[in-house]
Amino acid sequence: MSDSMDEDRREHDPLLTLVWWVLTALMVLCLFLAVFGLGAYPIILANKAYFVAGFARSGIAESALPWIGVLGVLLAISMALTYLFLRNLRRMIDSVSHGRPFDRINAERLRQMAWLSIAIQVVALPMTRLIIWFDAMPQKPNVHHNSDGVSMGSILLTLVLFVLARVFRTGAQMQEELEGTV
Amino acid sequence: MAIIVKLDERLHEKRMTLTELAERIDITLANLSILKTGKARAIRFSTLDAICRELDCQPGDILGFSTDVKDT
Repeated sequence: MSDSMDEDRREHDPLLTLVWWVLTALMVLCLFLAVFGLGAYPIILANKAYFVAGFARSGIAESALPWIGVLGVLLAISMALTYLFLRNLRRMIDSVSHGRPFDRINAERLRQMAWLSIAIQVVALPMTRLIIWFDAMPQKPNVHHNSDGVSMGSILLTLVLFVLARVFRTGAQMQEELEGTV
Repeated sequence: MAIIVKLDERLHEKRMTLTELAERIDITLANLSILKTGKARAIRFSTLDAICRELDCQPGDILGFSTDVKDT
């Protein structure tokens, strides 16, 4: 009986199905960008003359080339962290589909997501600084940036995730008690 | 847990099987087995009410307290 209920839940929740597919697409994008981030600098080095000329037209000095490599690595790290974040979220959706959302593992996933969101913001700091630096190269028109890579929304997301992790942990305890009730 | 379940004795007295009781009180055999073996964490009043009605007994006839039983 519970199996058929699970099937029903999966089939009749289009929002969860839609989000599941969006998350999957974003995860693929993250993997692509991570590979791009890691592969960009070796490709630039292999075709240095071509890229140096291109960067010169964009106002980026040749001395900045190694920093593009650093930016690529930071992008790869950021995308890897985002991938893990999205994977946890997708697994939580799977747990809802299987009829066990209030599970201790979901509380642990939320806690991991909170730490991952902190890590993503930490990586975003030097990334944003580098991008601002590239934009502010002498040859370029002066571009003003107000963002430092950390937004109020990101901080709120982290706090919400930590709170939700505790809510889910308590929910899991309540569910375990309920399951032992005859 | 120091709470002991004496469902077996009462069923024996009434010459009733666990399956039969499960059907009469509309509870799954698996859940009733959990109760009988003392693995349940809690019992609903509605379940206790149904068992007492079918076995014609008092809650104290089914449940007991023993300090000899170790906490789990």
